[in-house]
Amino acid sequence: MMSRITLLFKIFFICGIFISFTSFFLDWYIFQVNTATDELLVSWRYNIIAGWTTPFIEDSGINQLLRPYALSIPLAVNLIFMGAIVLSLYGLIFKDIENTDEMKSFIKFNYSNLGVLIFNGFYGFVFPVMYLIPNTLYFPTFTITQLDSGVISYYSIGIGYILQLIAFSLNFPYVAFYMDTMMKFEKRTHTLENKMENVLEHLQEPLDLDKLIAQETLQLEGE
Amino acid sequence: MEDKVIDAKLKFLIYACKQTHNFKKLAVVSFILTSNEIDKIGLKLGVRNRNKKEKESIFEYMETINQLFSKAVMVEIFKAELVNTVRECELIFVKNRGELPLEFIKSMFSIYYALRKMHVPNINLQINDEKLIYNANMNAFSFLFSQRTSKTKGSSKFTPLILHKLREQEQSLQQDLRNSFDAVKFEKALYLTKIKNSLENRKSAKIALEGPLKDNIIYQYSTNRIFGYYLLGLSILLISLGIGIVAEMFLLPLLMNTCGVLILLYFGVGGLLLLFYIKRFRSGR
Repeated sequence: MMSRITLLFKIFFICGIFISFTSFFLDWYIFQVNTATDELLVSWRYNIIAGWTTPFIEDSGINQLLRPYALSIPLAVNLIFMGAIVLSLYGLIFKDIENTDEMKSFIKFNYSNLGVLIFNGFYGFVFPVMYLIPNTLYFPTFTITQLDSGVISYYSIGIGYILQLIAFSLNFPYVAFYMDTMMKFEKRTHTLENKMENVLEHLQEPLDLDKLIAQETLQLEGE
Repeated sequence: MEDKVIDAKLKFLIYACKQTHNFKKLAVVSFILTSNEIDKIGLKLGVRNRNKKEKESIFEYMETINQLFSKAVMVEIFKAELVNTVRECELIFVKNRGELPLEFIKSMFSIYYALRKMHVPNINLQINDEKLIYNANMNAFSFLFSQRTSKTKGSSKFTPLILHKLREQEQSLQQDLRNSFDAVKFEKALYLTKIKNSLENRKSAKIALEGPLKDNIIYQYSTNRIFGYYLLGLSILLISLGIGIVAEMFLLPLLMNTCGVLILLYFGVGGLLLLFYIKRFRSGR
């Protein structure tokens, strides 16, 4: 059984992974423009997989005109992130690091956990700095009202991005703790003595004392 | 094969060979037994295997082991007389192609038994549970003093004092070992060297585990650190967001006035959490 503390943070990490995964299907950034009478003029939502989407079925000219620049996050990054999520989830559900006799086999799960955390960090930090701000998409939330026309522009991070930040804070303790643990502890295999015996068998010269005794006894009997 | 069984068979073989006057067989057996024992000692001490393909002799291998341990722990595993006797016997044995005078055969058997009596510790299994607790106490000891005084990573003001004490103990053991080889003292000397090295270079020191992680006392006590990592994670997150907003301010200066409160909030809370983490979880490591 895991200790209560580590179990708690393992649950945190599982939640973090699910939240990370869910965030892929939610909006990461929202850009809207409303008139003074609260009529929706422009609406764009950014999703990490689908890119910019608009709820308008018949797209008006102004909506297209104010379409934000495409944020080209490479698809490979998302795929690697998902791969790391799947591997970490497998490790979390089917393996127990505290009870194992094969700690080395956990290295790959530890690295996949670290991968998930790095991607959480990447999206949490790099996404606004490298993708949003250079495209004049204000961060985290801004409302700009144009006094002359009364047009209100809303710039806001979406629930997907917020979930990614929450996932980072949930994932960090478990991942950091087990990375540190793996660095600090090394498993001494129980079969070390057996292994040494095997090495000795190959190393030492074979000596069959029974055979030598038998040879001498035969010779003595012959005499 | 157990030592008792070997002894019984050897006794019988010596008796039979004496009757048949086949001393060459006894010479060969004495060399094989000694050679095997030396291989075993080398393996236990973690030294490279004897290079039999290059016809590395037993005494050369013994000298190599002595050289290595003289450098590492200032202890000679094999006494000079022992090595010299092996050298003498081995050279005659090789020169005469297996023939050896009776007195040398006796010497070889006594060397074999002397080697067997040495009970060299297995370095690979050196740290047992008892020592792990000792190691944990050592860490706890330095931790008690380093809370207020630590200046460098993983080191405390008292580390030199501990190292000095360790060196004293080590030297006393080395002196004892020079007089007569004692497996327990030798093991202790090795262990002191290991602790000394780990104190001098803490980053590379690893704690060996016998059973599962959950049964290890050091691990059990260390689980509280996870709360520290939680604080660290939150502070990293907040500081990163703060840096993001600072970057935004530089790129879009018109937001300067609006972002001030946010920056204060992120850096302030993040900094406080980081400070708390360092004070509570980091300084006592």
